[in-house]
Amino acid sequence: MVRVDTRGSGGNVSKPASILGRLGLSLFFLFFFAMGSLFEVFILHEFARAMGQRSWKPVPCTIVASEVREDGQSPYAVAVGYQYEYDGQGYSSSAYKRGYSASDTYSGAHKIVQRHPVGRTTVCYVNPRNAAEAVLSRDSLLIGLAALFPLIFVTIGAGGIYFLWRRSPPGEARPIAPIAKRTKGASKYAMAAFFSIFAIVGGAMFYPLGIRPITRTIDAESWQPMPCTVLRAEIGSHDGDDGTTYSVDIVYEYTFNGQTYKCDRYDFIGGSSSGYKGKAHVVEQYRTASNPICYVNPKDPSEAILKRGFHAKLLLALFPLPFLLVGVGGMVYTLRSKNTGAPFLGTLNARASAPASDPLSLLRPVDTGPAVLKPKFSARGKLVGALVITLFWNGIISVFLANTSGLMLIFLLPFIAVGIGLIGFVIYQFLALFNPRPALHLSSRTIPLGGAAELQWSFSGQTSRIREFAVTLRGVERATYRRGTSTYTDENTFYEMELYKTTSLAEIASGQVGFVLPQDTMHSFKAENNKIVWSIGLRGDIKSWPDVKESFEIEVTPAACGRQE
Amino acid sequence: MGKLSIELKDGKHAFAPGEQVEGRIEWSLDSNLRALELSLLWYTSGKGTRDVRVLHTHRIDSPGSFGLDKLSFTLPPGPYSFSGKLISLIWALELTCTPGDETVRQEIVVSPTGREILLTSVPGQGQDSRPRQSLQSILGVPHASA
Amino acid sequence: MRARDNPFAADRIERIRYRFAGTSLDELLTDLEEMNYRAAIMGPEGSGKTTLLEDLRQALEGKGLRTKSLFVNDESPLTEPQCRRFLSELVPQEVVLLDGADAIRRSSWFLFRRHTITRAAGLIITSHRPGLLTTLVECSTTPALLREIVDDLIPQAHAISPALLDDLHNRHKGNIRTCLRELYDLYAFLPQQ
Repeated sequence: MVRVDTRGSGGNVSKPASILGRLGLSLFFLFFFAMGSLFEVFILHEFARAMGQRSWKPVPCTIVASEVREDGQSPYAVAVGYQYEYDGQGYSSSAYKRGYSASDTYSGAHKIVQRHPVGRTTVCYVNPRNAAEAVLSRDSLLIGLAALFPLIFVTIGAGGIYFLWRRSPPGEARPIAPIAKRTKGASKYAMAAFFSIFAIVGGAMFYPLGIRPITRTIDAESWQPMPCTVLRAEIGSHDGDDGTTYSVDIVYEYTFNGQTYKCDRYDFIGGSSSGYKGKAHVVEQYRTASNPICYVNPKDPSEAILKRGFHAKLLLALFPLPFLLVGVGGMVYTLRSKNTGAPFLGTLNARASAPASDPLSLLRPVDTGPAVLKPKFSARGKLVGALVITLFWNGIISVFLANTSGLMLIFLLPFIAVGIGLIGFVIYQFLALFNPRPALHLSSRTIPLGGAAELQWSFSGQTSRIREFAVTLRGVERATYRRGTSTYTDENTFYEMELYKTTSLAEIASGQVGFVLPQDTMHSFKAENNKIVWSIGLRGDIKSWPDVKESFEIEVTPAACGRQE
Repeated sequence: MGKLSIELKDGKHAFAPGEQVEGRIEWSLDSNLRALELSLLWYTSGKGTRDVRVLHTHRIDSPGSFGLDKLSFTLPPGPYSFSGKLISLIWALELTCTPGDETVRQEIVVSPTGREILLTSVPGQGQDSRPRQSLQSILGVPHASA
Repeated sequence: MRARDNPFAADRIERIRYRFAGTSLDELLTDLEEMNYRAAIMGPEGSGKTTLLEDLRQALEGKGLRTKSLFVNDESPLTEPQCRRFLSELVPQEVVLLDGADAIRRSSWFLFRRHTITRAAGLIITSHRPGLLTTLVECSTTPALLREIVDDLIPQAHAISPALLDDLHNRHKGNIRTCLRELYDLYAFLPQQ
């Protein structure tokens, strides 16, 4: 008999967490909490500094110097100078922004210089506590939004420790998903807020990685192609914690409407990444090209690009999508979900005073016309569920992996193994999406015991991949036991009959089989705790691929009235 | 001493679905009763929590301390009486009195075959795959022949 | 073996009454009265909390007290609207018996605790952990208890070796309920005698 446990307790008793186990898990969650808190403190500190700068006084100033300087140490430094008066005293400054030294790209530095040409009167911000300190551009407050991201880790860490130590007396059987269930029980709004962090982070990443480069790529289709001169073409090398990354650094000059401009934008994504060969090829092409073409924005000729059109790098737009999907999906699901079932009210007598369902309803005259059978869970539903869980788990583990080595890595191994297993499961469900899909028609919605019926099937998709196809009729007892706070469900298959089996492609693609239900057995029966369930199972074996496996419940009614001899 | 009894016509205890159940009830109790109730019901027994369903109830108010009455119920098309490994469904007539705890129950079989439907287990689907012989020796039960 | 004949069928197990060790039902009732009928029955899964609660219910009703019961489990958690509805229907003379107090939301629990102080005659709960109400009794099991229960349930012809039962008790960490469910499975495949 197949045991189906609806909780992790009882028939599938999970061992109560030992103190050592709990301490181990606490360390795991403490790590989450500590990392998240550290980042949070750092971001909040920067945010506080930016907020502090909002109290600096805006004062008119005159730009006296403004140019892009390429020197050995900084890629493209903005050399800007301006003069201002404060409290009747004159000052001069060369600070563009607090902490700013240079831009990585010529375009970035040039844009700043363009906004602050020599002779222009603009506004600078003066530190009221030290009038000699001033800037042209204040720190951005957007860093405050980044404060939400580490909160995910702080919440997981603190929540994990809380629920780990909150209730676990020895010998207690624990639910399968304690955090999810407990949080949902505590407050669906708290859960929705948790998911909103994913949505905000995903949305915040989606703009610079997705929306902006894609819209600019589309816009660039109308930019004018102009010949340009390559002034410098080389591969930029950037050393980071994860190793060295490379970028295409090309500076070129072009003339538009009689004016000469300089630019260094290669494409709209920019940045650096691993992979040297591809970039070296690009740099070599432009180094040796006699008259390369750049594309100039007619609305702002200082803006130009060498590579336009859709290319593989634009797929980076997909990266924030899982966060967005998990966040928005989680919020919608959590806010819409309702608790199912009601607590059992009443006495503890064995004889129930109010039956919850009418198991005889299926015996009343029903529509006996043909029926289209539908499986319980769609393939897409299974994939989405698997994906959500896998993204969540592996997203968290990858953060640790990026910053871990040695002993800590060994500690993470079990979690990595689970993550790999989950990825495998997602791949399995994903591959199953491309399986041929069966459509089933039964000649009658209800079949009496001893009665005959005809089942028709047809497959859509690549049916030729199915090597062997079988149809099985199955009858199952299902008993649910509720006692205390536990629920257990067990199953026993009392009838199984293979109705059809074939390896013929034509028969697999579409076919039919007639069958007669046995007479001396039990019809479909549904009460609150005990059920007899009949189903038709389909199995299609596919080599090196997830098999087609679907199950469809059918209604079997009592035989026509009268005694059988 | 009190006595409640249910007697079925011709001693018949097995009925086909839709058939009429006929018989009589008899009571003889020390004290005057407020009411007697005869119910036709089914209930489950097995590994799951019990389900109970009362189909018909025939109530007799102020029945006195003794008497007899006819009973007649029409059975529905189902569910059949059956027994599997996990669930048994049992039909019964139950006579109770108020006040008091006196109850008498008469089981009947509702089935087109005249016998309780027996459900077995498909080989290979059983949770316990240990050979039956060793199972019996653990339990100290004499080995049954195949 | 037919389900109805299985000595470990659910309805037979539910007829087992709580077995006291070191105390008695009368002593518990006395303690309960001293606690103004506000107390908790504590213990791990399958240690008899629900059984004891049922025994107490019958005893309280035998003493002339009215009771009102509520079961909660993880499949059917108590929502706040359900909780409020239940409490609004309470009568001051009723003692509330709440099975699974630690499975309900904290906010619902506070509501229960507060409401039953003035608007009910008492509140007796079962819980896996301490702290919700003063503990009346802490349930626990032993291998000897399992042997005793099994002896009552099965006919002598099908006696089970004590070693098997002790091993069962150990494997299920003292959860009598799951021990009995495993015994059900063992018996379900016995040939008809």
